[in-house]
Amino acid sequence: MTSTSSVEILLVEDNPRDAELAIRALRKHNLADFVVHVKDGQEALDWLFAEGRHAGRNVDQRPKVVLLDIKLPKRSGLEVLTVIRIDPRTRHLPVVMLTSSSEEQDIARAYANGSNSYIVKPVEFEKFSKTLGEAARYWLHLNQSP
Amino acid sequence: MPDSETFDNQKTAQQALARSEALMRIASRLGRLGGWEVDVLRGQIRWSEETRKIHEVASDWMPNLEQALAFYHPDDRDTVGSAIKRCMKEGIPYDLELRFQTAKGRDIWVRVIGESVRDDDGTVIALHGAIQDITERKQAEQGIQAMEMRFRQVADHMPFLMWSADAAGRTEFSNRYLYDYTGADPSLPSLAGWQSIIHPDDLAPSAANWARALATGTPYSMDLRLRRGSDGSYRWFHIQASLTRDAEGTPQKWYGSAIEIHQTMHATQQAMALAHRLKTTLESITDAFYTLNRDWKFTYLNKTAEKYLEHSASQLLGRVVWEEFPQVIGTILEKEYRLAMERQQTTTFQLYYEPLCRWFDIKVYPSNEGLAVYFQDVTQKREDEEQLRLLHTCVASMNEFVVIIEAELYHGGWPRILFVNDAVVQRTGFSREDLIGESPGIFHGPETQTDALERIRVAIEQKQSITEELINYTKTGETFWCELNLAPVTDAAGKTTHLIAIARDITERKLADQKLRASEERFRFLTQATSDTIWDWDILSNQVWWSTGFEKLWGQPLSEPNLSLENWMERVHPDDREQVIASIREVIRTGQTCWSAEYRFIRHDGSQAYVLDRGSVVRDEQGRAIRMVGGMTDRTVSKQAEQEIRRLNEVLEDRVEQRTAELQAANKELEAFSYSVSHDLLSPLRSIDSFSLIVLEDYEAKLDDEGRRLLKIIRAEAQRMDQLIHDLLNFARAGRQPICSDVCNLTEIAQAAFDTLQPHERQHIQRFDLRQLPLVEGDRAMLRVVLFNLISNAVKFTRNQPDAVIEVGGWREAAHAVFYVKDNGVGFDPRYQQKLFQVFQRLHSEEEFEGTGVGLAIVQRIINRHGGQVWAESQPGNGATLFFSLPLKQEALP
Repeated sequence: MTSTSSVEILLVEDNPRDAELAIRALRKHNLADFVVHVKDGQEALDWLFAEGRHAGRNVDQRPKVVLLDIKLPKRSGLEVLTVIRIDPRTRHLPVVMLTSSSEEQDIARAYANGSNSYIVKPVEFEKFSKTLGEAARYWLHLNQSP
Repeated sequence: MPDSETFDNQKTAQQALARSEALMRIASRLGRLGGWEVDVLRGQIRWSEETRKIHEVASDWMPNLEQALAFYHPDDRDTVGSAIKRCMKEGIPYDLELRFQTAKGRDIWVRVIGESVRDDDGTVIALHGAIQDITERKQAEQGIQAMEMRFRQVADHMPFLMWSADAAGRTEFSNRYLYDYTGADPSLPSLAGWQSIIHPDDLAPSAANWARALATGTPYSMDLRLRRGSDGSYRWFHIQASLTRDAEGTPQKWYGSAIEIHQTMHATQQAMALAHRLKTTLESITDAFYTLNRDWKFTYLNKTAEKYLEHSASQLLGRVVWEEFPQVIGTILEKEYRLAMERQQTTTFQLYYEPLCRWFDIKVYPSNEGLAVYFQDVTQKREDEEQLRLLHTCVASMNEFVVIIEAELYHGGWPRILFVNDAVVQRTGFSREDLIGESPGIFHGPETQTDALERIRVAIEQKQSITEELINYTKTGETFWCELNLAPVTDAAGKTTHLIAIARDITERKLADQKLRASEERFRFLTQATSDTIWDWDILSNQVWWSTGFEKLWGQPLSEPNLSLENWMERVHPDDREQVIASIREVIRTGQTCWSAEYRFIRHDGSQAYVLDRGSVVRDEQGRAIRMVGGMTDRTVSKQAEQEIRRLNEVLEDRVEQRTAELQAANKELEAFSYSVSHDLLSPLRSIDSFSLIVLEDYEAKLDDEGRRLLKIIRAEAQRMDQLIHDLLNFARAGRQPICSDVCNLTEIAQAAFDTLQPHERQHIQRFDLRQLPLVEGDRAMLRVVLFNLISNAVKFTRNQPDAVIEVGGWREAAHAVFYVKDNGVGFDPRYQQKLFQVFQRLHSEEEFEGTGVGLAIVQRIINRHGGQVWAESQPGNGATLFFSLPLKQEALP
């Protein structure tokens, strides 16, 4: 694992309980040290492109994977995903959609917009922890970004 | 020559005798003439000296008569002997020229003369005479004779006529040819009258030529005809003659010859005549003809050829064809000419000669001299043939039936078929082989009208045209109607040779006629039976016919069934009248067919009737409206009912709209609800479960057993609620999602559903008996849910069964396929069957069998949406069988 950036995971999650659970799950997999948590879609974009509140951040420091909730305030997860895929700087950034919804239309739209994975958050924490941990590990460790 | 008187007067005449003897000696020596004397009484012979010399005997030799005679040629001895005897007895003198052999054996000719000497009594006492050696003269004579003989023989054997004539032209000699030819008597010294054998036409020129030759002495030469004696025919001779002259130039003789030249002359004349005739023939034939020699030069061309080649004979003769007509080089013509010349083969071909825009039939005959080319303008012929072919094609491909029949009656009183076109073959199913040579009766059958046939037969006999509508039969016995037109075809002499039958299939028209009659009948019955008023408006005469219904509507019998349109208009309510009339005008004007109007009709008693009037416009070929037929329905009663229905319908429609809107709103709300549940409801649930777990993990030491049990109950309930929410969402989705119809193999789907179950869930199943299931159409994903729910139910409810067996099967019925999932599990009480498929309805406690009671509700919902049914059979403890049916063909379903 090379460290071109100190931030490895960008977690976009508005619900603080879900965020806590997600970070706890990542910690269980020893992946929580390099997580940045933002709380809405707009902030996620600001952080990624060093704009707004995050202006001045080194824009070239990109995370290795984005964990993106679909249902977000301001700008939805799908909107954020679309912008990420349009901008040449982030076009190849791995994005894993996180959602409680197993609605087929949501899944279809997520993949159509270029998401790399789609994870339905299970109610049971053991399952959630396992699924999220495995997905994050995959994109961090195994997948070689182009 | 001494005579007898010498001896009579010896005495006196002694001197004279002596003188004369002396003269005689001289003469006899000169003329080799010897004297002799026979003394008859003494039998003594005396010879003169000269006589001895002639005999070439010694001068003292004294012969007797016998010896004397021996000198003569044996053949002549009798001649001389008898002459001597006659002379001695009767005193007849003789003079003979005889062959004679001298004592020395030399053959000579002698002339002997003798005469008798009588005494006074007249008795012959002596003979005396002379002998002369005439050998020289005789030899000379014989030479001439022989020459003449040879000349004559030669002349007579000459194969031509020879003749001679004296200087004056009198004929002296003709050879045998003349006599043979003319048949004249050869004993005649010469032919008397040449004129008689010369052809009358040649007489005058011949005479003139001869006269000129005689007068001038110039040679005579001409051709003339002489009559042949054997057959009287005249044949041609070439006659020529020339005059011989002596040394002084005096004319001596004409020598002439006539050579028959008839054969030559005839041949020449024939050749000339032939040439003339040939020329005339070649010139006069309308076909073009020319000849080419081996150097391809024109040697002859006739007038027609001049015309076609557009060159005169003088322009072309001696010229090379390829140079004069370079445009034919490389064409079929050049190829064929050269082939004909090379191989000496006759050839025939057709050529389109562009300069004249005409087709030629060309025949080429090779010979040693070159080629004879004979060509004929066949443009017209080709055009005729083309036209004939076109005509044949037209007839063959006509839609009308064409049958050509021999006019002469053949058998059964019918003429024979010679030709049928394709239309006949196609319509009747008979092949040409079936028909040609047969009687047209082959088309007739039991239904064919005998009266029409009789009229046709009479027409044929009288050679007249006839048109009949006739029922004919196909090969398979199907009948069809023909409008048949039969016409005789006559030759130039006016004799009918053929009959042409042209027929059209009018079966449809006939059927239409029949239908029309039937429909007219039906119309009559209808007008009587219906309560409607039927009307027929003749637009041209403006008369309207009304059925009896009108009287019912009007309320009183009509004085006459026909009324004018105005009579009807008066009965239309004044407020409606204008609009009704305008609508009729509009329909007629715009070319529409159907008209309808509703109006109020004023009855006889003044009351109003509501009328629905509908009509059809009938138009002629120009599209002009000529008739209008229709019906009026009295809707006074139904009108009122209709108004009520309409009112009710309007209310109903309002309600439906309202309900639909409500339903749509509910559907939307439900969707929003589902979405919200998915996201928002699950999130706190996850928190409850997860944080309960965190408490259990992080604060385990601070909790007692009861605390841990309670937290576990919280987690279990949270998870049960999660399950409930998921099931509820699935149920909602089953009612909401559109069906994607596809062919589904339920056998595969059932097996996959069973395989999806976790092994620990299904380990108690002894046997999963999956039969072959019928193929159906349906939404594959939904049917997967159906089978999964049914099979997982069966698995669940056999959990406590030691020998759990699940059977899945199905069969096809007429419009449906029926499927079932059968287990030998706990079963259920059939009293609760109705509740089985209701949402959240459970027949077992949570402790017995977990579940939310949604699975079968989803099954029912999906199957119902597919147009199928679900039902179940069971007895408690005896297992359960759940059935569902699916239509074999999926209609478009909501």
